[in-house]
This record gives sequence, C-alpha cells and structure tokens, in this order.
Amino acid sequence: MRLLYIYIFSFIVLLHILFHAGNFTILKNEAIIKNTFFGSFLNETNQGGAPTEKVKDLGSSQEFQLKYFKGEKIDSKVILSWEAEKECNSVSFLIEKSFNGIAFKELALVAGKSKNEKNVYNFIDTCSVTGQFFYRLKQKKSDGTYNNLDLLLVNNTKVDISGLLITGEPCIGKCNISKASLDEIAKGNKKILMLDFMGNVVPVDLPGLNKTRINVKYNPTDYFQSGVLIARSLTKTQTKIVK
Amino acid sequence: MIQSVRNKYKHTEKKVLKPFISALVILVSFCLISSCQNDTTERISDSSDAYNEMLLDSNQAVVYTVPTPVQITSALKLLDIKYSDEFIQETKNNKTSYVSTFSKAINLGIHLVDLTYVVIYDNSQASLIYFDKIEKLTRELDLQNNRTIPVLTKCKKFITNKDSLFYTLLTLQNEMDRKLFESQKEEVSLIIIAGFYIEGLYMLTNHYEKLMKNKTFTSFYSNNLNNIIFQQKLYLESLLDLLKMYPDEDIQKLNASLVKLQKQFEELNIRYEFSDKEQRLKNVTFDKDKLVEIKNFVSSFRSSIVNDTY
Repeated sequence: MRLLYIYIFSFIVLLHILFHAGNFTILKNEAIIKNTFFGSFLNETNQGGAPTEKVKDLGSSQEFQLKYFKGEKIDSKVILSWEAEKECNSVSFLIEKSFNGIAFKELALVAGKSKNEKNVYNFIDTCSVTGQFFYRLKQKKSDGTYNNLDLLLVNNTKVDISGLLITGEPCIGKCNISKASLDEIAKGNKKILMLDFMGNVVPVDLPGLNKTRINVKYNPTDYFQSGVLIARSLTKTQTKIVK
Repeated sequence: MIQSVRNKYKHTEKKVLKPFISALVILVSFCLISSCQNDTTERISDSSDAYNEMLLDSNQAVVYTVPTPVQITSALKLLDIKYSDEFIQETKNNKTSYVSTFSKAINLGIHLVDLTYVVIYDNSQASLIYFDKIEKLTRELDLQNNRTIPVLTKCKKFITNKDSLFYTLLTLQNEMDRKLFESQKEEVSLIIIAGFYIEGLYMLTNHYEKLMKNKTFTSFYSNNLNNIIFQQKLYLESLLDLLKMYPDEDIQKLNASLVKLQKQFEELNIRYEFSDKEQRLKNVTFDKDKLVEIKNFVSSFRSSIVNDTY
C-alpha cells in the first residue's frame, strides 16, 4: 500500500515537472541574460551607432535627447552650442571646462527652456586663450543630481601644419614610413597624423632615430595622446643580437 | 693466475680507457655547447626574419601607437567615473619580491598605471606606497642614472600634484626608454609598455563592468569608452608585432597570452566610422557581451603577473 502511495506521488511530481518545463527554461534564460555582464545594457543605450545621441534619463520614463554638442573657434572665443529635446526632468545645463582633461572647473549654468520642444542653446566662452580645452556638458535634473551628457575637445591653436605632415591621412594603429620620410623625421622636420585616445586626429612629434632599431616617445603635455614608437629595419649585420 | 691476468688487464684497460672517456666527455660537452650556440644563432636568425618580414625592406620603418601609463586613468577621470579602491587592492597590498627581469619590468608598468590612478583620484596614502614600489623596481632594473634619478626625486616631490606628476612621469618614461635603448635592452622597454597595456585594459574593463552593474551606463559612457576599447585593440596589434621580434622565453610566453587576447578582441567584432569632415573616429560599436570574456581573461592574467605565478 505504501509503495502504491509512493508511485502515485512520484507520478504527480513527474507530471508537474513536465507541465512546467517550458516555464523553467524561460526563467533559466532570463537569469542568464541578467547575469551576463552586458545583458542589461543592451536595452538602455543606443546600439545602432546613429548620429544623434540618446541618453536615458534615469529618473524618468521619457528619454532626454541631446542632438549635438559642438564648439566653434572664432578668434579667441569658443562658441558652444547644443540641441536638446524632451527635457522632462532638466532644470539646467552645467558647462565645465578643463585645460588638461582631469581637473574641471564650472564655467556656466544655463537654464533649461521647456519640456518637450527642441531647444538650441548657446554659450560663448570668452576666456579661451590659445591651446587645447575640454568642455563637459552636464544636465542638472529636478532632483538636484547631474547627468554627464557629452565631452568636447577644442583646439584653439592656429598652426599651419600642412608642410610638416608626412601624409594627409591619419595612421590608425600603425603605418609604414618611407626611407625619404625617415630622413625628415631624423631632422625633426616631419610630423604624422594619428588618432589620439579619444578618437581625434592629431599631429604627433616623432622620435628621432639613432643607432637602436626602436625608439619611443611620450608627449608629457598631453595625457590622452598615445606614445609613438618607431621600429626601424636595419640590415642583418646591424641587427642587435638578442640575448 | 688467470684471475690475476684478468685483474691486471682490467687495470690496464682502466688506465687506457680513462683518457678516452675524458676525451669523449669533453667532445660531447663541446658538441652540446656547439649545438646550443647553433640554436641561439637560429633564434637570432628567426628574430631577424620576423623583423624583416614585418618591415619589408631595410631602412624602412613602421610607426606604432603605444599606451602610456596615464591614458586610461586620465580618461576615467575625464569621464567623471568614480574611484574604485577594490581594483587596486591586489597590487597595493602585494609583498611579492620579483626575481626575473621580466617580472620586474612588467610589474613596473602595472604599478606606474596604478600610481597615476591613485594620484588622479587624490589617494595620497596609496600614492606613497606605489611610489616606493616603483622606486625599488627601477633600482632593481638598473634604470637609475644621472638622468632618471632627478626625475624620480621630482616624482616624489609632486606626488600630490597631478599635473606636475603626470608631466614628470611621462618625462621619466622617456628617460628610462632612452637608458634602456642605450644599454641595448629595448625589449625591457617593451615589457614595461606591455605592463601599461595590461593594467590599463584591466582598469578599463572592470570600471566598464561596474558602471553596468550600477545601472549608470548611459550612452555618454558608451560613446567614449567604446573609442577607448577600440584603441586597446590597436595597441594590442602593435605590441604583438613588436614582441615577436624577441625570442626570449618570457617574452614569447607573454606573446602567446596576448595572442589569446587578440582572438577575444576579434570576437568583439568592432565596427567604426571615420568622419573626414570632423577628422575623428565615430560610432564605435561592438558585440558587448564578448567584452566580459576580455575582462575575465585580463583580470586573471594580471593577477598571475602581480603574484609572480605567471
């Protein structure tokens, strides 16, 4: 009799498992997605690489949109402009400025206009002496917190570099240099265009060549610029013996 | 009688064979040494071949971009990302004494990145700990001379002044590279750069994960951090090109690990656009679920280097 009860109980448990098997599978998949490092991210940000920038307003169901943030150099001034849409929770915009990209100072607080229209904002930075500046745009929300919106790098230096460049095309990662250009590098007359750390094209100083086959140089005044390394081929007899 | 003749013969045999055996031992030793020398020559030849293969022709050159110790930490600060002490616990509290030149050089690179991290986020107590470790490693690597010692002294003086310290650190790096090239130890310079790379990538991917977990990962971070991830792929390709020139066992082992990392970067399937008008890289995207594998790999790899179990 006891055996019969055990058989019946086991049969019911088995039926229950079979009936809910599909649901268990779904739950399992959901758990995997949540536990995946970037799983939750996929729903939150703009993945398509569209030109407009969408920033999820974390405190609201509506999406705040920053269409652009740009800077134009006119003489010693920099005109900053940006376009925003669906400013549901925005109170104002904070512009921060930095000379080196690590120490930022508050430059201005610009009041927000309206809730849902497209609004264009401008701010003129009159205190821009020659050099490179970083501008950071933040959204101040109604709860008093700030949201980073965008970064801008403006180079206010007017230097004609056209005669100094080895090639007009930027090197992405690495590029080959001809023997003639090597001579110019050795004299310190040539520069090359490369991508900086933030994806901007910048002319870089190249290290001079000496008897070693590898030379590396870091620019101590720019924290975001990569080091530049020149590897030179020598003849086999000149090649250093590696211990 | 027969026995005594045998003993006598045996004794004579020993006497005669002894110089032969000695000669044989010397000959075998010589052959072994010669074969080792042949092996070394072969390795050097391999190295030159790899080099010539890379550069196509003699007296041509390739320009590479390489990471610096301040880039990732400066970028984290630029992006307003919060300081995370947990990421530096392992290096800060580590008491390992590194024995090989390889371990010292790669850990010097790692510790230099960590120094910039704690300085940029104003952790002055940790800055001094890292500075002492760096000073010790530069001494052990014989990197201290009349040009580098004054720069190291300046570094300690400016330990709480970010701007001056960063300028001085990059100057120090230039001087150390110069010293290494002059003493024909350029491969040590590359190992230090590999240390910058590994620690930078470790910091970057771990902060990326933390932003994700805290659900504060907006497109502001995505747009900027994706650019930096792409840059890491370029650095890796440069490092692999350069490291393959050196047949040293430790370097080749490092190279093999970086090749694995390169495969993981390939799986990211990075896409990007280059705007001619703006002269900048834009819209860098990749398969983000694959980035976790890079983060796990580099964290474990870095841990083995720091604990000298690599």
